[in-house]
Amino acid sequence: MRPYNPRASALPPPMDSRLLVALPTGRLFTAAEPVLREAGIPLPPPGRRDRSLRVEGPGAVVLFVKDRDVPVYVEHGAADLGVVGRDVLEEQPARLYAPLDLGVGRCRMVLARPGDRPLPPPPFRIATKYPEAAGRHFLGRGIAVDLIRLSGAVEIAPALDLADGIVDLVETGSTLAANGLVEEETLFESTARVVVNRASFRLRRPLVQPALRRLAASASAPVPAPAPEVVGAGAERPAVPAAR
Amino acid sequence: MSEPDRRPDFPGRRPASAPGPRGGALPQGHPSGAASPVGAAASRLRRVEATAASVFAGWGYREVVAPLFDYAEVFARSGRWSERASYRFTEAGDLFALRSDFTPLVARIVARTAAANPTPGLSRLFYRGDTVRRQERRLLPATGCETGIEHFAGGLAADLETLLVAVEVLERLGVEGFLITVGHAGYPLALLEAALAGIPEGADAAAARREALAGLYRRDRARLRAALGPAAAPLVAALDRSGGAEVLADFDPAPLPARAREAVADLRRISDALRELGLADRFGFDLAELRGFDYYTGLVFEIHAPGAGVEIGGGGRYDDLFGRYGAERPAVGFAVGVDRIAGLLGDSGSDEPPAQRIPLPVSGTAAGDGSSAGGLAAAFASAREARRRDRRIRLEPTEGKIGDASGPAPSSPGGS
Repeated sequence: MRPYNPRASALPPPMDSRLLVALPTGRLFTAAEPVLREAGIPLPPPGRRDRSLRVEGPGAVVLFVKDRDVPVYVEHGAADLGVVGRDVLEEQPARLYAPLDLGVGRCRMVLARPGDRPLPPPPFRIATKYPEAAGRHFLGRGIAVDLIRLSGAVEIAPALDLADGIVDLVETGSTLAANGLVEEETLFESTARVVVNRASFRLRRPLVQPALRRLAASASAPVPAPAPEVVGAGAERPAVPAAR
Repeated sequence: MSEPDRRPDFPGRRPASAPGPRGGALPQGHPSGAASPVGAAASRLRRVEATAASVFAGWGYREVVAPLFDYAEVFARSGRWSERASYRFTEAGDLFALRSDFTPLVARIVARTAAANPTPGLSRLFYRGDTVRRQERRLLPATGCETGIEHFAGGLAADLETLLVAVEVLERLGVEGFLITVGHAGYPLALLEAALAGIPEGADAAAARREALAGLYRRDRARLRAALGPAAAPLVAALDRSGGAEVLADFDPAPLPARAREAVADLRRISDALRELGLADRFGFDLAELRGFDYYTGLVFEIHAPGAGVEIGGGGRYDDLFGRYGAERPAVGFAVGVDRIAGLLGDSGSDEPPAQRIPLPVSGTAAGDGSSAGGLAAAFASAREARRRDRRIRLEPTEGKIGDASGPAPSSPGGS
């Protein structure tokens, strides 16, 4: 064993001096894009989202991943920071911080059922893409349900008598109405959240904190309607951060 | 539900090529979560464990060997987290669980030992070994390897001792750039109780508490405000008190609840002592940290190091926990993830002397290799002589014998 010198390991190893950001590819990206751009996150030129999964800027590297994978990347530290909807977070009890609500991409998680049909006696058959959120909702009320997990087009399930009702994310509710469904109850409102890796929150403070401050500022400021041109992303950031 | 289990097969269940003696096929690979490090990776793991154990022993901690399983209730009693994380099975009508956490097991052992022999001898204990935890979103539990201490004493001295033992483990292992973030559960919990006292009559206080705690764990301001309304303000402010020792310095704790005030005073004394010890740059402070476990009552801390996306260790004070097992006493402790730290370390630590080669007069084939008893005896006599002098040896077939196609491997990882 090497001789013990209490101060031998004071120097931290070099780390990537750029913030690693995981962004969702889907609808939520479109909603959050102006806020992210305003905050100086390097993004592809407006309207030109090609198939590149990685965008590099001077202060940050952005990775585009599937919505449901954002918390996975952030929890394991493959990304320092991510943007994800509350709907996804409620499905995955990941150990991460969710310090900031961007207030964009607003949707509701609702329970809906056919308007022309009385409810059968429980257990209700509930079709959903969100079995965790749906399960918690009914469990919390002591209502017996059979959850049927679907991958999409959930609102068709009651018409085909696969389910008595659905739990799904809606933006305007027009899809529900088109399928003859009425909203019974809102489980929660979902918006885009900024999530942070727990280790990065501590060790990469000089990178993470300024980014959170800029995101908070651009989320609360009124965003100009047309997205501004690409800003000099992260020019004011410290070039090489300290270890923490 | 009466539906059949429709989980997909995991890779380990796939039939494989080699049929066993009874015709069954051996699954290929190992199941997800079942780590099986070999050779250098295994030595690294054991070196981390042995180094930590020697530090613990050096500070006067005695080892306790905890069982691999116990009644499920033992884990459940330490809180929701341990209950959910433990992997359970039934036998003869009783519900058991594999070891997911050491502290409940140690509490049980201490309670039984104290009942059998009330002499207060063992106030410092350490443990080491594997854990099996259910993983959220995974089909199978994952194994882990950890080691840690329990110190049965109240007061700041015991808190500081715990932090310094952790520092020495990390320093001796050469973990670079580690940061220990210290908080005090009394601070957020006292603010939470004060906020709950302010919510209107008739509201669901238990639900508000649960939501507020979830908000704290996630540092989610919106969730805290939704749970507690305007009363959330002090907790929301606590979320910003995260950073260096300055987060303890620049505010007036006078309007706080008494327990929160004491928590700040304790943290300030810890911070001052650490600064005088020259360790200030190793520590951060966070007044909102609760670590996600539900048994901490005082000091809480979490250890992070560059290269690890999750914490590599953590601990704190849990003065109420041992009482739940009939062994009421103050306690403070921590554990480090042996596998997580081993994953950070390079191969630099393997400074073992090279092995002495001893030629073996064999052909290399298993049966009828024609080596003489005299030749074997001579080889093993020199092997025993080298071992008597504590040399590392490696018996190797001598070159150029019949049937020795492969030749000796330059560095065989296993050996027997």
